[in-house]
Amino acid sequence: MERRDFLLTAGGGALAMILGAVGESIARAGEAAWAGTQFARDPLPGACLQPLGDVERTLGAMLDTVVPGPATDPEGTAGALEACSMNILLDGSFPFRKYADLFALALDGIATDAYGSAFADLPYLQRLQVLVTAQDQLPMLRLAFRAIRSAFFGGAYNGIGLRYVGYPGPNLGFRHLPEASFRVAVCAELTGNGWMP
Amino acid sequence: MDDRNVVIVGSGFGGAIPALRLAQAGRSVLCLEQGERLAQKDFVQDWSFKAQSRLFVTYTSKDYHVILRYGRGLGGGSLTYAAAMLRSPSEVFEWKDRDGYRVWPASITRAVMDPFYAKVEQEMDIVRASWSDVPRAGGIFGKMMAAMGKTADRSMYPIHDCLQCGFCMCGCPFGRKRHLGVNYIPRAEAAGAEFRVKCRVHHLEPDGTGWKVAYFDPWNVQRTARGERVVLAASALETPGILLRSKPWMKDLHPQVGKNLNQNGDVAFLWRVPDSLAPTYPFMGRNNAGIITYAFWDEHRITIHPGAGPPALVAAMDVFSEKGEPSAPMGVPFKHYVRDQYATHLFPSLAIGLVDGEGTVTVDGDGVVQFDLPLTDRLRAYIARVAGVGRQIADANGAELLRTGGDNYEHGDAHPLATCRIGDDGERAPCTPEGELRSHPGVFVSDGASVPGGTGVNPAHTIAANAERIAVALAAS
Ligand SMILES: Cc1cc2nc3c(=O)[nH]c(=O)nc-3n(C[C@H](O)[C@H](O)[C@H](O)COP(=O)(O)OP(=O)(O)OC[C@H]3O[C@@H](n4cnc5c(N)ncnc54)[C@H](O)[C@@H]3O)c2cc1C
Ligand code: SF4
Repeated sequence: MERRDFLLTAGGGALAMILGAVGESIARAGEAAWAGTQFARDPLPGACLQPLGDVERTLGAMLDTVVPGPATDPEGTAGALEACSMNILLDGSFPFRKYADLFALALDGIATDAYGSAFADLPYLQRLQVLVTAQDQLPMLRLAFRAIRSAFFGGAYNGIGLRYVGYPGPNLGFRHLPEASFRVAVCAELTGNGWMP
Repeated sequence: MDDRNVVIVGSGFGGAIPALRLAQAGRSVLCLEQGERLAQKDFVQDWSFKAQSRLFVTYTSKDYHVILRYGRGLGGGSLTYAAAMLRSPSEVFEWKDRDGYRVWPASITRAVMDPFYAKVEQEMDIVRASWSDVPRAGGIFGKMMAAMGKTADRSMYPIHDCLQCGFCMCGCPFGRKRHLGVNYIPRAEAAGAEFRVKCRVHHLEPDGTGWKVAYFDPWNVQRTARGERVVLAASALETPGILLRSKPWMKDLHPQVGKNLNQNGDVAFLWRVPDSLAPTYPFMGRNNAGIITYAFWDEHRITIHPGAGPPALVAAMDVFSEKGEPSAPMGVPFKHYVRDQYATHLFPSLAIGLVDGEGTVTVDGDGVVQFDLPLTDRLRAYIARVAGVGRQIADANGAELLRTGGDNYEHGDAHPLATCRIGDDGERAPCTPEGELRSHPGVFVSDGASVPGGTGVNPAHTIAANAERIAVALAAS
């Protein structure tokens, strides 16, 4: 089946799933055409930076709470850890590296106060609660969470998150797909030339 | 030391345009740009941080709630912007702030600006999108407006024969978007202007009748260029940064430099559409989705346009559903929500409107730019108004307005303005209407920093037209 037929037959709630598959096929075509672009790649061995020292478990648990992976997501699909989003926290070219210890300390502190144990030892729902509290106390964390989500869904280090949401990634243009545009006037226009007087 | 008639800092709209006009007027022009000279082959379809950080400089507000960025490279923001080029409505130029102060000089009206807009349209070959150019997300937005009995208009772009790949904000790899690097800049070079890339300006020092511009060359060696005139066009974040770093040599620098930071009244949000309007396919098509509504302008002084959204952008937002699902932008429900909704039911939008600029740009002890954009009562009231309009549109269409952002409000990240604004009042405005720094004659500001307030629509066209206008004054000075 052509990818455009795929798209045309897609409908209703099944769309996301089907589009995921289509996305993969478009991405594969894209990979051939655009070999070398960062996000078409699968994870490279060793591409994910590993935290050192005591903060390791806490940061890992934090990532797995923001975008849960197989350990937490009942559907068993990959999450932030598998997408190498730890790099966001450990790569010195981002602002978070110097805060990584502080993040871990804050999460463990809040977790201990609220539930009497270290953050990484809490069940998922309690970890989630700790993160919601922590981001209000430490605004930098909110930014870190955004970056972690963005790294996963935006394919910062590999294509796992992109494929997960059905994003085709690099492509030669969708112009020729019938569904890319309605192609006819869909509403009345106020101006004759596109801008207000 | 280089000695020129004019040294220009930055090669975006505010820099490239005066470079062309001054070179055409026979002046010797040197433009210093911190970014690289990028060709079509350098634009890669890649949303990764690594690729993006080559193309953009990003700043986070002191409270970590707001992100602002600008495009870097020869051609500045034009390389990676979404390329909507819209003339500002007349009321923008009449806008008065909280004190009743008219922020644009009285001598500048839309009628005065129109010939300058027209020049930019001609140089950049700006055309109106056809209905076939309006991506699906834009078409859905148009249908939503039609369902309310409202209008939406196709926008204007320097884009020709677009393939609708959805990567404008990575730079167009197909050469369909006509950025400054293919019009103003080569024409300025042909007229004799020199553009020097990978040169980062640090500060200015007075030098007799002119100015010394201290910069780091590509090898990080400090150098100096001298100009009888200096034109600052390093963006609304960096232009005040350069001036503030120059304070030791510019003792009586105007106290309003760095004040009045206005992010153009940008409020970003997402729509979740009902099945009847799905699929949205927000990744198919140009990043500014072809259409804009002026239907709320008269009542609220806001415009709204849909965007095509890569997932990095959509999922990075702190999405909150007013209906409670997802309840937080993290965890299993959020992950599943993005997967189930992103490609089929979501598309992003940006409201732009007139609101006072109450932010500030400063430099820290190392001379690095910092900014603050407080969520003032005025801004809160404005956001509530925008959200009210958004809800109205959503309710009329069985759609849902998804609020975003840490403050339940997502400042847009792309349109900083007014940090070194022109104006009639010498106390409030650091620059004269002609763009000359009041405290320091011979220094001009011609970029987004000089545009004195919100533009009501995406700002690049007004920045460009204003730079054309200031270039006339410069050539005459
Ligand atoms: C993702 C994105 C999408 C956008 N889409 C649109 C759109 O569709 N329509 C629209 O109207 N606007 C859009 N904008 C905004 C638009 O790009 C800017 O308003 C416009 O580029 C600002 O022009 P400028 O001349 O003020 O500065 P810029 O275009 O930002 O140029 C400043 C230049 O100065 C250089 N520079 C900075 N500091 C120094 C220094 N110290 N030394 C030397 N050089 C320096 C920079 O590298 C840069 O090249 C978008 C912005 C972004 C970030
Ligand atoms: S959508 Fe069009 S203008 Fe944008 S990058 Fe693709 S081809 Fe170029």
